[in-house]
Amino acid sequence: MAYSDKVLEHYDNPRNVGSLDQADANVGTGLVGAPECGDVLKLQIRVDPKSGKIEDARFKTFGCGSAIASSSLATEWLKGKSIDEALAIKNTAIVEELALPPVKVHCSVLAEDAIKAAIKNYQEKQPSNA
Amino acid sequence: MTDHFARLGLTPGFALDPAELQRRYLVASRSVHPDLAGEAAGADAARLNEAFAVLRDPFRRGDHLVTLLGGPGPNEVRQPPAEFLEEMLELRMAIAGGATPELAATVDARRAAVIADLAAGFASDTPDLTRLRQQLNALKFLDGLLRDLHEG
Repeated sequence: MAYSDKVLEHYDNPRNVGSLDQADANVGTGLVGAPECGDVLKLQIRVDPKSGKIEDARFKTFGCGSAIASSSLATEWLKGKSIDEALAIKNTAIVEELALPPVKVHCSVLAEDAIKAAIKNYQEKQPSNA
Repeated sequence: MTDHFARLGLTPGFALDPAELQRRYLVASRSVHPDLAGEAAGADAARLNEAFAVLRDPFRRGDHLVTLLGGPGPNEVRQPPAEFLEEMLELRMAIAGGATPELAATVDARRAAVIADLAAGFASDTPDLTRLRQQLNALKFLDGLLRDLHEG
């Protein structure tokens, strides 16, 4: 099955590959995997403490083209968003944007799970929620 | 609920002697072989084959056992332990850069450690079924990685 142009574009030029400092109190890390296909997705956000907005997002993904494209797109969308806005990102929007076929929908679910895991990790690090 | 252990006259448990499993399978096969026991035994033979296939594979055996014990299904607990995923990501990245015999040995050793941990966990008087499901997810990751290593 052919990948869509958008998947290929993200695959060839992935945005925001890399890591943020996990020890930074403003950084949230989400790490999720899919045992069936072996994909592993690590997504990190850094929140600006003054504005409360996500100022940077990075990912490191092992998986198929769709998993990489879903992670790449997710980091693009996360930048500039508030936590609440980020929580509202749905996997269906990723499916739509990348024109993912049904067999690759689980890649977008993984990306949404990673976003939620990163936000949860960030929130757990904040003193007010301790 | 199907109990594959009972079908082979075994007490449910994760630790299992492969030779003993094989022996019981062969003995039981004789009594349900269609050539010896007639056409009607065909369904029994199929069930016996399924029980053997499930029990001989560590992942499928553990999956069956967690289910028998009333633990969470693979859709309820979908992740392996977090630190395992970190390790997995590093291993996958390293292998993508070129599989070496050392990396393959690392994966083998890791898989053996997870299986030993599962055996210890299932042997407990009060098994932590959520944790065991997480460890089974880890085993599934390692099985997939080994498959990719051998195909690649």
